[in-house]
Amino acid sequence: MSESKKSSIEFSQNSALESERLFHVKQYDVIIIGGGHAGIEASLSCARMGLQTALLTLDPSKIGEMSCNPSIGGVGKGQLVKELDALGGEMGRTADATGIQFKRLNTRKGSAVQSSRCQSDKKQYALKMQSVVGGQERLSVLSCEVKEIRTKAGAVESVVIESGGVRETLETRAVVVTAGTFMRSLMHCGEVKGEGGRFGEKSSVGLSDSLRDLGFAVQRLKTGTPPRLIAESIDFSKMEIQEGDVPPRRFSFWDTRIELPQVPCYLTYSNTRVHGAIRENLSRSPLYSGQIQGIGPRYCPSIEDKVVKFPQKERHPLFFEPEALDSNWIYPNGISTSLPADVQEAFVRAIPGCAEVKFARYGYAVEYDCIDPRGLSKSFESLQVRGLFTAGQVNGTSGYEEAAAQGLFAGINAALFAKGEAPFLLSRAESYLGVLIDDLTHHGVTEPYRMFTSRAEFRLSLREDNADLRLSPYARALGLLSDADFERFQARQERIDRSKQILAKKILKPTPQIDAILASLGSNPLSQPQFLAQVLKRPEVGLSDLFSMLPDPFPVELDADTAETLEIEVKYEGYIELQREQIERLRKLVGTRIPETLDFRKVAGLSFELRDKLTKLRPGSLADASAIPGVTPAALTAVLFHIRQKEGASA
Amino acid sequence: MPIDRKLLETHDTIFALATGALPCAVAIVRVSGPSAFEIARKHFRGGGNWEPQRAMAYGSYVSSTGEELDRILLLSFVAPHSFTGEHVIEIQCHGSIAVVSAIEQTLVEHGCRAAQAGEFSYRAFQNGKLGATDLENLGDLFKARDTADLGRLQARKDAALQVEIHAVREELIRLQAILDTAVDFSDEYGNVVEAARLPMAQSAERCAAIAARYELFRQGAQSPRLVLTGCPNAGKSSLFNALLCRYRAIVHETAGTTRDAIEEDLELEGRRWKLVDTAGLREGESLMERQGIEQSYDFLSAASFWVLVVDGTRGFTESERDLLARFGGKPHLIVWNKKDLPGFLPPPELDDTVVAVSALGGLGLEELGQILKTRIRQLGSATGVLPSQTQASRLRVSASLLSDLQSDLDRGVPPEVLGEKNRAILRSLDSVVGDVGVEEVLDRVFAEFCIGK
Ligand SMILES: Cc1cc2nc3c(=O)[nH]c(=O)nc-3n(C[C@H](O)[C@H](O)[C@H](O)COP(=O)(O)OP(=O)(O)OC[C@H]3O[C@@H](n4cnc5c(N)ncnc54)[C@H](O)[C@@H]3O)c2cc1C
Ligand SMILES: Nc1nc2c(ncn2[C@@H]2O[C@H](COP(=O)(O)OP(=O)(O)OP(=O)(O)O)[C@@H](O)[C@H]2O)c(=O)[nH]1
Ligand SMILES: [Mg+2]
Repeated sequence: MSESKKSSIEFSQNSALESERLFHVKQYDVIIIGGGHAGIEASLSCARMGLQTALLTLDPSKIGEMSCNPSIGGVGKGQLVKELDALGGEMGRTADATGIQFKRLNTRKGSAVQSSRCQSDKKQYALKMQSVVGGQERLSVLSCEVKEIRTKAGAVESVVIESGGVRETLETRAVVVTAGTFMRSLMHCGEVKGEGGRFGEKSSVGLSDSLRDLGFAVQRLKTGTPPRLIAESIDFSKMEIQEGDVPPRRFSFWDTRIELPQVPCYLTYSNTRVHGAIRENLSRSPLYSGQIQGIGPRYCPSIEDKVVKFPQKERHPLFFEPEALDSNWIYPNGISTSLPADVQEAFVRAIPGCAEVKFARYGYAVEYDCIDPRGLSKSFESLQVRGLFTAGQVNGTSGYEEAAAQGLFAGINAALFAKGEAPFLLSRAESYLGVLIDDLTHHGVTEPYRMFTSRAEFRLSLREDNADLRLSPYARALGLLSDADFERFQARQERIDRSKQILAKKILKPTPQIDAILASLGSNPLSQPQFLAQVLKRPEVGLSDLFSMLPDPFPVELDADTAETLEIEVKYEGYIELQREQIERLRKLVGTRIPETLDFRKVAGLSFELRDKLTKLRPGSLADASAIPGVTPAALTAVLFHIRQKEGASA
Repeated sequence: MPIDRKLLETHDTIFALATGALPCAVAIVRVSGPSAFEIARKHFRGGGNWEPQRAMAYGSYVSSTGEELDRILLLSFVAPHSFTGEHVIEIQCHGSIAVVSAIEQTLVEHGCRAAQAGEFSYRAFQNGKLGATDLENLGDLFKARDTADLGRLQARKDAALQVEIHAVREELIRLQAILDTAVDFSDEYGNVVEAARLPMAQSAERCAAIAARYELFRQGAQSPRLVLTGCPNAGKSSLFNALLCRYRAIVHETAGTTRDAIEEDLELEGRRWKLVDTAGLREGESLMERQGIEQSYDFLSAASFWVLVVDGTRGFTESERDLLARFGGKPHLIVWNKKDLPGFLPPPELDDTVVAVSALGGLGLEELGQILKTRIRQLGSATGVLPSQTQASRLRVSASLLSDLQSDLDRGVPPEVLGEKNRAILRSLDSVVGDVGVEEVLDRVFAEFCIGK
């Protein structure tokens, strides 16, 4: 390969560039395909775990691009970001560094489902990610399109890339595919359609065929984005101003700071005029004309969908969000659409404050290929090809947070695979990430999958505030947490433990002052001395209220996050305790693996129906088996019994 | 739902009726788990303080308010020396439905849960209590499960019951959808949790009604019920007598003549029915009148078929319309009475069957008899009654948990906690209403709420 050719496919910011040029390295431990939110986390985790890693992406200047809304987090998603952060991921830190409005959702007193969300300066966000990726040791970034993944004896061997019309083969031990919305992607704006994975970017052709050849079932999904509007052309005085929280609360458990200026968003509503303009032109929507075949998410409907499905609603809320501090682009959240440009102009102009609006870009929908995630193991490795991992939107999900969390997870497992180590698994009892993995691999998807707290049966225990307590020890063991961060973690854990002990042991004696405070909170007086924890269990009493009743200051210094953890753990102790026991049980079940050789037809005590079902579905552990409808405790007992008997016989 | 809650909960306390169908001479309720002894200490009275060391004790089982529910024999087995390897008590009581359900109620108050088929053995196995020779017995467990399935199949064939069970299921899914929306889409639907009140109340009422009918069914000679209802003076008692072909109920021109319901056996289509005459539905103010109406509601809940008797010279009243709205889902027909009188209005055109008769003059009774018979034949073996005691007891317990949920809501318990509680109710009802998964709830969320900013 000629010298000039080579430099054209390298990303100039990359520090690994030098070694590349000198030694002509074409061999990597792990190759990541795609520089989206999944690919970033995957490549960083591999490189940080000590592996020579290459990140191959269509356009390196688009690394970390926010394809849609300029925000991170939300209910269910915030939990994923915190988990990612606790596991040593990058998203939380970058969100803090580039956030321009922070908001906590579900903040009722002592709520266990609080979630963080922020508006991001999307330019800064991508730049920050690019500098982190560029500065990462052992990580090379190459600009190219991956055309094919090659295997040998059922394992990944190399990838075929194309750059500037030239094809080349790169050898690797493991591959993580994070191609997002780009595979055979088709963009629609009214009757106009064109190939491309994101506005102004090309589509990726060949990769999904390659994945199909490697045994994945490929399906077609769809998502959409609203137009972008020019700020100066909008009359914000006709809208309601929405400020963020003061003070803003960070995502990251580690040492980060919110430094960018904080700015407001604006709330307005659609109206019957807007809806009328849309209704009149429905026949020109690719969604309704049949031009779009892919299935879109119901939780993120286009405005045309909302108007059709909820005809009785006279208005829908619309949030106008700034895209970046130094940009005059506004993201109008709530009007995702693929109607033709002229219709978009017509209906947007009917929105209060938008009479004179100018468009920076029209909204569009994108259809793309993704794989059926039921073809993946619980480590996100293909069931057919060893060393082949997939993560992010290609797995049928949607959302930056879902993508990033999967990316980290698949990256960790690709790294472990390349090192010849056992996979890292996460159960749904300990994390939202585990819920996501379980749901995808068990049930597949029929629409782009998004996280909701209702998917997590242990949501009272799987909270944002304790994500580090749940997961950071894993990150440390995997080598993804620095000494400094780990010390920080340990100190926090210690503060919590000590505070809990004090709350459980220290007694509050009734005094007139205390009763007065209690009365002001609408709480009954103390009739007798009580443990602090007992008082805190009263629904009306918060931790700060309790502290105001103490004669001496509370002996442990608590930051807001730690105080929150403490308050929730005490208030929900009963539930959390119960869930903890359940989690223990689940862990045991997950631990009980069903040998691949087990013949379910030989298990005594199983009904014929169940024998058939289990033979077909081949659950890998008792936990998986129990997830199958119709599998009763008695059936599990029979299976467990059979396993033990076999073990006994062979021992 | 992809998690094994059945096994996850193996650390709570479970109970089951260890003997056959009720009523019977002696019933055994077996309780296994950490709170077994606490229950015995709290509810057993006799021969001084009860301690688990007293392997066998005779005395009273009392309710949480201290009333005696029954005289019982209490056996106790201290862990690990029990069948399950956990603390176990066995309550041997009289095999009446009332006694057993009252005892079960106290267990539920302690957080116990009805065991699933095979759960005792599962625990035994987990605790190393089940040896190789016991493997054979597992077969029996499956038989037990099959009987339960049979029960469910039977219920599935009963159209009237299905309508109601479906309604309960829908209500509970809706409730879950509201509670989940309150959490997952709080930024769009801030105060939606208030909307949970109605489905809470309605599902509680429905669960209670189905369970109540089971009780009535058991207590009565297991005959399906045909209930006559309507406003005072509509001619219910007259029709009652006419159908029985004898003067059984007092007929009088004073409105409110019938105060307490009366019932008589009636042979219809080769089957014995209970024909029930009820007090007139009066928008009464007095306590007694109100009780009469309440009682009519109870009877209608328990009815397999009901007849609305309308005074044809007056037409529909408000309370009759209410009734149709409330109980229109179950098999019924309308009798437009007093056809012989001059002021008789033409019967309205309705989807419901309306038969014009004169209960006193004997007009149209022949036709009514025919229609009744056809309708009853259409019901088939359907009775609107649950096939099993366990199912009835789960519904009863759920009804009370749903009422608790309402007071939780009043106390400001947050939606995520209410959601967890309702999910537990749904789980405990899966043998009655069928499994409800996350996806089904989400479907409802998206169908009902316009999600997506
Ligand atoms: C129009 C649109 C609307 C969206 N709307 C929403 C929304 O409303 N809500 C929401 O939550 N999410 C939305 N998303 C999704 C969100 O952007 C994604 O979920 C998220 O970005 C997925 O991250 P990812 O890492 O999986 O993929 P992406 O961010 O899509 O990144 C994929 C990367 O792979 C690279 N790539 C692809 N193929 C190849 C190849 N063959 N060789 C080399 N590199 C390749 C691309 O260059 C790109 O860098 C939308 C996306 C789009 C495009
Ligand atoms: N003419 C005529 N009178 C009727 C007929 N049916 C009932 N009545 C009269 O209506 C009055 C009320 O009849 P009941 O049968 O007692 O009515 P009910 O619905 O049982 O009334 P309550 O028990 O008071 O709620 C009596 O005076 C009956 O004689 C009918 O078909 N024709
Ligand atoms: Mg009467």
